[in-house]
Amino acid sequence: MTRRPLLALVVLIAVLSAGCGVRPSGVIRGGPAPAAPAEGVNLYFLANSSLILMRRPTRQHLSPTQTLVLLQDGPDGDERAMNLTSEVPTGLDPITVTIDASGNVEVVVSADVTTLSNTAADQIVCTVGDALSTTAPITLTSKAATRGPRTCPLAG
Amino acid sequence: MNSVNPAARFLGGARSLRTRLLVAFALLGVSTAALVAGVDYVQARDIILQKAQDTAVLTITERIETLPPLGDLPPSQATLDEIAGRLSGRDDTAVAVYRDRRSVGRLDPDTLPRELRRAVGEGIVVWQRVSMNGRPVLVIGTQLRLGRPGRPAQPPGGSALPPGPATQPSELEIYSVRSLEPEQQSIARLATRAWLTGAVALVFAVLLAVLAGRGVLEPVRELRRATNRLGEGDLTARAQIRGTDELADVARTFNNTAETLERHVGDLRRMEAEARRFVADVSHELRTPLAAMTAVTDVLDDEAQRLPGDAGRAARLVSGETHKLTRLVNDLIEVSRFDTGTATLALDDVDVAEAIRATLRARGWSDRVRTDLPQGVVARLDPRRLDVIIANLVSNALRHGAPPVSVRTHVRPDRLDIEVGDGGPGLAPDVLPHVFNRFYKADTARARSEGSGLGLAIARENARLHGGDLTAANRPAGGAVFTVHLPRPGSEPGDTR
Amino acid sequence: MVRHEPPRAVDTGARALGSAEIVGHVSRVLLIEDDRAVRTGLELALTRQGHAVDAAETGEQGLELLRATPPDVVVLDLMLPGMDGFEICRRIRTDGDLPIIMLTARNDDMDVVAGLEAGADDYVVKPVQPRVLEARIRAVLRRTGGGPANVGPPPVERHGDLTIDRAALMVSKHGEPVGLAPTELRLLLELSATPGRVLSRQQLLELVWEHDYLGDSRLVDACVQRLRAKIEDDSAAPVYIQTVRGFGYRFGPL
Repeated sequence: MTRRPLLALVVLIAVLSAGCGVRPSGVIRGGPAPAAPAEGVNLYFLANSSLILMRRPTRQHLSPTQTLVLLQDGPDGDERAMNLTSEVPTGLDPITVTIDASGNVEVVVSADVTTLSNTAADQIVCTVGDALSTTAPITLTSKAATRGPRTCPLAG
Repeated sequence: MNSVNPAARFLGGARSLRTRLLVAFALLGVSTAALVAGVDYVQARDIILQKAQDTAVLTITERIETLPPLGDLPPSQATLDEIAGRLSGRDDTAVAVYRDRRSVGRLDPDTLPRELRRAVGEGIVVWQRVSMNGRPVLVIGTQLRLGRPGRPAQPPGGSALPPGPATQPSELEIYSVRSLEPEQQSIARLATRAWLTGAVALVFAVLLAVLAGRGVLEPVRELRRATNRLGEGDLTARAQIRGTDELADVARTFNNTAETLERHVGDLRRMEAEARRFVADVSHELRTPLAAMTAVTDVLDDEAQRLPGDAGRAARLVSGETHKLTRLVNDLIEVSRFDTGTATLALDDVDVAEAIRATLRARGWSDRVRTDLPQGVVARLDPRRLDVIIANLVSNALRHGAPPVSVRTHVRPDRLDIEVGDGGPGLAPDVLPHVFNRFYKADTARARSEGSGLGLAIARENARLHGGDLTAANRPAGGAVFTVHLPRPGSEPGDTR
Repeated sequence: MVRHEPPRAVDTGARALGSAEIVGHVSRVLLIEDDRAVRTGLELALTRQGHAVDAAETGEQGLELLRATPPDVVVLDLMLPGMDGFEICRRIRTDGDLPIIMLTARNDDMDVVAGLEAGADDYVVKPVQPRVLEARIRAVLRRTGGGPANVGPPPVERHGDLTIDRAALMVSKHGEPVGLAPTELRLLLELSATPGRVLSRQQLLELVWEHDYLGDSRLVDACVQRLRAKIEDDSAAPVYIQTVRGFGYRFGPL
């Protein structure tokens, strides 16, 4: 007769002991990731043919045109060490970036936009978008052709 | 089972009321305490941990947000190290990871749980409690996002462009590891307190159980004591009535029953005593006229042969019946002495063999009875009573049994057995249990024998008066054997037997 | 008060030797019994045995008859009206050495012991068979009549301070004669006949009291006590009649 209550007592104690202390947990999700303050200029190059964000320190704020000039210069030493590439050809300048009244962004380059690969176009669009801090679609225009409007595939 | 262990005696066994009460109370107390303390503990623990975690996450987030602006992607090793350095604190260590590059430090990202690293890619702060090197730690992981450096451009006309998100992912990941040992210690203290509470509850419960038990057990024990006393023959046993509950009612009922029993038994005993006294008185009164009649039986016998015909027969008849009546009355008086406990032993140092031989000789049985009597055995007996026993047994053997009739003595240090056996048909199985009953005549066809029917009963009482007994049995080889068992309380100095 | 004389010219066939023949003259029995029927019956029986019987109804009557016609033996009922049997017994003892046989109705009571201490030589239990009573009377008369027939030791013996004359049946201590009842005398004679030999109570009962079979050893003990009171210097440390525990009694050794 005393066996069953004793057993219950033992089980109780076992359960209590098991729940003691700090137990490992699963992954707990919290709020959005914090951001460090920013400076520099964003450039988009390619790592294994997929867009990757790069940043370069600058002393002063660069205009979108100046940013694009940097882009067409391609990855620098560090970036090349990471095996980054770029499909943006040189000789795009003179480059002009205009925004019209209805909010359409246009990038005029001297090279033929139709010869640009999609990836190169993305690079340009993303870079310009970051430079303008906007997600508005951007149209690429050359002498005769237009590409876009396009938006940057990297949602951010 | 009687255990010398005082605890076991106190409990009274596994099935006793006290044990059950104790166990029930203990279980109740402990489970309640466990429940309460347990819930408390769990809540407190969770709060402690949550607070610690939230604080840690907040700290990291703040540190990240107050980093010097990061302008260089990919980050150089120096940058990574600086980030990691700034994000580490006194109690925690951080590591910054960029793709396959990492800040230099003790913390190796490969030791971090894989699921955590996967979750970090969701763009949220995640944390996890793990055990590292046997110690509990909190691992926090997050992306280091970057604010967008660009200045939103103003289109002419004033309407703003749709802005991009304020931050964007770099591929920088930050992991911070913080020991949870202080928290564990606090929790351990909580646990200890909870255990203590449980223990106190247990002790308290046990004490309560003992107290409660006493309230119930004492009356029960009292009742049991009274019942035992009653069972042992003390009809004055009564239970003390305490309180007014059901147990008191039981005690009262018991007392009433015992009182009724006492009265009835008293009545019965009185009636029995009166009956016995009556028998004794009657038998006694009969003695006087019998004495007169017995005195002249010789005269009757002598003159009977000279009396004509019937008168002579009548005279002999009266003489014979007077003797029988005398024997019966004497037997009745003997029996009533045994019944009232007034029979006394007149002890003497008796040579047993010689006494038995004298008994046989006096009745002329010496030729008809075989004896096997060890010489020189002296016992302290009442010789008259011994003679009565032996004479009755031998006379029965000769009359109801068949030759050869034997008397044998077996001497033991503490006992003396005298066996009287015959070679007859033995005792029938339905006769054997009643053979010592008063007035029991086995052979109903032989309705009137010489005996009074009290012979064996008196013989057994005589044996019992000595502290021994008389038993009857059938011998395996045939015939009946009656054994007189007499105690020999130690031998006297000088007695070599 | 009734007197009976024995019948004359009696042809009783094979009758046992009457006590009358033993003592050489007709023995006289004084019977004191208050119940009329018992008294009549016993008188009848005793007369047929050849005794001269004086019967009394009360103790006082008995004492009168005792003085008038001294008997050879007294048969005395203990339960008497007026002066009880014990008192009668004591009175008879103080006056002489007459043998007394008690008649009791109960045999294992204080009565027997008290009666023996009062000086009775023997007792029988009512109802008593006449032949048993006769045997007791014979035995007790033999103790006063002839001494033990067996020859052996010389008639006059000296044991310490005690002088025993077997022929004259006289015992004296320090030269002073000691008055012994017949049974006491007989007991002393038996024991001193074989000095140093242990006799069991049963043996003594047969030798002295002539009980047919196992009798009441209290008779022996009571008699020994009375004997010691008369011949021993210190009854608590007896010299002549010594107790041998587990066996019986022994004369000496001195």
